[in-house]
This record gives sequence, C-alpha cells and structure tokens, in this order.
Amino acid sequence: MRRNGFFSPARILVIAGHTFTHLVRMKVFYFLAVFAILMLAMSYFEGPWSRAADDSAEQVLIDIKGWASGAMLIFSIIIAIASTALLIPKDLEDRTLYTILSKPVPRFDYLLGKLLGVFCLIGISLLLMDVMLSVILHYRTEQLLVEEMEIAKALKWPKEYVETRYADISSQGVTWSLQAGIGALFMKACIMAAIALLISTFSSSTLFTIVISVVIFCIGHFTADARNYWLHTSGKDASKHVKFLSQAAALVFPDFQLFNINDATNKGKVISPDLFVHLVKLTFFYTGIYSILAWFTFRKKEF
Amino acid sequence: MKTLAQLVVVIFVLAGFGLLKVDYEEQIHQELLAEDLIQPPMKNLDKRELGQVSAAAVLGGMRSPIASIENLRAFVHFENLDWAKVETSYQIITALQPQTTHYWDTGAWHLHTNASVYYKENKDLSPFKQSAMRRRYIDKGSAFLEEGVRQNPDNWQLHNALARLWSDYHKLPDLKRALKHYEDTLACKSLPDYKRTQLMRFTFYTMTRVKGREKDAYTMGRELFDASDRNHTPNLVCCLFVLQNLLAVPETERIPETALFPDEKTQYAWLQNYFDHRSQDYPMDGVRAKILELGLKLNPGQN
Repeated sequence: MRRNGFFSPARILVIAGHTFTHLVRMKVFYFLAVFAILMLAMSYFEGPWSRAADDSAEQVLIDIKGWASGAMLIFSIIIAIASTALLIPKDLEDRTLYTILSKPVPRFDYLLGKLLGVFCLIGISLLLMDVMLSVILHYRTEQLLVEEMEIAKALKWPKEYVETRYADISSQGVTWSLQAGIGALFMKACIMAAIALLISTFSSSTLFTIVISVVIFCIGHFTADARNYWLHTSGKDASKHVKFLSQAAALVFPDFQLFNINDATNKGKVISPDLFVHLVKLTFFYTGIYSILAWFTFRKKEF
Repeated sequence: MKTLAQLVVVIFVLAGFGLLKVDYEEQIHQELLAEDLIQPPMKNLDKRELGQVSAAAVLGGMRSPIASIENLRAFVHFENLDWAKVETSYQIITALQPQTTHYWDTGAWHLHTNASVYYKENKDLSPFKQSAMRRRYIDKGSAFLEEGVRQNPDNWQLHNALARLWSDYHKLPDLKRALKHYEDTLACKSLPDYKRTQLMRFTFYTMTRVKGREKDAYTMGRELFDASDRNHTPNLVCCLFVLQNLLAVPETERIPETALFPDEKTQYAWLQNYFDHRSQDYPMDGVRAKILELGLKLNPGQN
C-alpha cells in the first residue's frame, strides 16, 4: 500500500537512480578533464609580483581557490540548468514518460525522483572537483611552506614570526571552511535545478527553460539590492514604481548573494555552523516550494 | 490560457511565501555582511566601469576570478606605462575584492611609487609639471590606501602602508601624518603580536622627528628600551641619547651611556651613522660633540 501511496521514498530513489544513470551516460563528466587542466595550470601560475609581498604565499593559494570555485560554480550551474531542462523533453522523446506515468506512479514522485537524480549528479560532480582541488591545494600549500621556511632560515626570522607565517599559510590550505563554501555552491546549484524543473513543467522547449533559468539566476543576484531598496529606502529618495518592482523581485526570486560565501571561505574565513544551517534551511525552503509548484503545473499536464 | 492562469498562481504563491522568507533572508544577509562573509554591494560607478561581460560574471558570483584577470590586465597597463588605466583597473579590482589587502597595496604602490617616479624622471615634461605630477600620483596612491582603510578600518597592513608612504624620504614625507597612521596601525585589533614591537619602534622613530612630540617619544623609547634587549637597535639607542640631551633629562634620571651603547667604539660608529641621517629631520642634540669627543679619544693620532 505504501509503495503506491502519494509519496514513496523507495520509488523516488528508483527514479532518481535511473535519472542519474541516464545523465551519466550523456558523458557529462568529461568536463572534469577541463577542470583538471585548469587546476594544474593554476597551481603553477603566479601573477605579476605575486611573490613580492609579505603575504604572497597566501595570495597564491587564494588565487587557486578563487579560480577553482569559479569553475565549480559555472560547471555546477550549467549541469543543474541544462540537465534539468532536458529531463522531461528527453523522457518524452524516449517515450519513457508514458511508460512511467501509465503506471501507478504519482507525478509528484516522478518529479522529485528526477530532481533528486540531478542533485546526485551535481553533488558527485562537485565532490570530484573538490577532491581534485583539495589534492592540488594540499600539494601546493606544502610546497609554499617549504619555500617560506627556507626563506625564514636564510633571513633568520624570529621563532614566533616563523610560527605565525606557518599558521597563516596553512590556514589557506584545505580547511573545513573551504568545504563549507563548496557546500554553498551545491545549495545554489540545487535551487537552480528546482527552478529549472518548475519552468520546464510549463515550457514547451528546452532552450526556453535554459534561457529563463539563466535570467532568474542573474536576477537572484540582484534580489539583495532589491530587498535593500524596498526595506531601507524611504522619503524623497524612493520611487514608487522602483519600490514596487524591487518588492516584487525580493518576494518572488531567491537571494543568491547569500550563497556567495566562497570569496570569504577562499580567504580562510570561518563560516559558523549556525549560518551554514540557515543556508541549508533556505535551500530546503526553495527546493520544496519550487517542487510543489512544479507538481501543481505538471499534475494535470497532458502529453 | 491554462498555462497563463497557472503562471499567475505560481507567482502569487511565490510572492506569498516570499513574505515569509524576506525577513529571514534580510537577517542572514546582515549577519553575513557583519562577519565580512559576503561582499558589500558594488557602487554604481564600479558597475559602469566593469563592462557588461564582467558585470554578468560578477552577478553570477565570480568576483574573485574576474579580479585576478583584471590584475593581469593592470600589469599590461603598467608595462605600457599607462597610469590612468592602471588606476582604473585597480579601482575595478578593489571594487570586486574590497577585503583583499594585496590589491589595495599593489594598486597604491603603482600610483605613489611607479607612476610618481615615472613623472619625476620624465624629461619631456617641464620641471613644474614633473613636480606637480609626482605630487599628484603620490596623493592618488595615498587616497587609494585611505579608501582601502575606509572599507577595512581594522586592516593594520593598510594603515601601515599609509604610514610607510608618508614617512618615506624618497617621496614627500609628512611626519605628522605618518605618525597618525602609525598610531592607527598600533590601535588595530588585527595587528599580530610579533609585529607590535617592530611597529612601536617605527612609531617611536617617527615621533622623535615630529616637533613637539619629543617628550612622548622619550617616554615611548624608554619603555621599549626597558622592555627587551631586542629593542636595543642602533637607531633607537641613538634617538634616546639625543632625546635625553634635547629634553635636558637630569643626570640621575638618564639611561647612562654605558647602558645605552655596548662600548665606545660601537657608540662612535652608531652615532656617526645616525649623524649621516640628519637630512631626515632627526634631532641631533649633542651628537656632533659626542662624535668629536669619541673621535679624539679613540683615534688620538688622527687629530
């Protein structure tokens, strides 16, 4: 009875597993080769005068992390949007959709399974990139530490200064904060996948879904400005029309700036567990709302 | 028609749930800003200068890699001696990464050192123009660092960079201004302990040269001298010797010369070297007489 209910975790997992396998067969992981090349190139690249300043060793590591997180963001968002936009049209094309929906599979379970499959794909992609980054970052940190200690020996730095330098450089290596930043990238990509799923339920073309999702992704980075204008601008500085528009944007679109903690984590700043939990809650909130709305538009859709 | 109706419902539901999340998002946003975990909003000027492609990337959370690319571009402008473009590039870079000391420091260095020296030595310009342009770029470098300090008030490295700039005798020293920046550096909570003593010595050297602050300088110098043998540097010892003469410290309260200097030969060498820096506004009370006295004593045959 439970297996045929409205919400069956086992059934959702089967659909998710199938979706994941299906997406993997589309050779999406080839992008990892590009990421690996980028990482290798960045690990040996030093900007102009990058070894001239006091904190240049740290800057080299921050640059590696900056490039890596930038690439991770691009890849994860592309995977999230493109693979989700392809889900329903591909199932229609392969006629799998008819087979699934003709069985006692609730449409909500079908959508959740599909979304979960995409989440798995994003998660594993980010995990693999994270492993590559961590290996290269660890190797480079050790190398820079050796170089710095040689300089310290040659210049006879005081012990406390050597210890501080060691700690400063080590803090820019592989840390839990860095993982928190990558976690925020995962959350952002998951929200984008849920948005793409919602759009794809009433969109008639994959391209439309992708374009609108990208537009929403950009708007999501303005939401904080819109909310700020709505909540904190008053008096003669406030325009009624702009205020209405900013209010609408702040209410309807997610605030992606909140998930941009990578720059801070790349510089070794610590994210408190409380703040991280807040971001996780927001991710659940958004993916939940978008999934329910996707079901609402998909529930009676005819094919 | 049905799709449109569904779309309207979706937007209304999102707006409804938006009311639930807006305060929560605002609270997280403020927390993240307070802890410097997300970048503050960009100024309109910066957005205009950024260009469309970069702006889109920044909105997508790619500030760090774009700043790295702009940093390379700035290097090309520097090689072409195009100082206006160097300045613009660093304005963009620091707008993207306002918390990165390295960028503020490097940008300011290009302006107050590289550009100012370029104009100072440019024979195509009239002497008046050379001098005016030199002054202009030193001021630009200082203004750049001051903006960095305004955005990062507790960054000791930026305060220190300003102090070094205004106490640099190869530029246009303003010792009162330099002293203020040294005092600001010492007031920073971020100043690491291992740097504190060294910066206190630098503050002392600057204070010694500021008219009217000699008494404060003597108090500070004595504290440093008594605190550790590592502070018994030639310049500090010579400054104390001079300040005792300048302030006419009673014989009983003075640090004896035998305690200040390791031996007479070293005293002679250190005071000679100190005397050679008289163009740097160091007080010279009693130095010449002491050098003559020691010269006669140590090399009687030569006089």
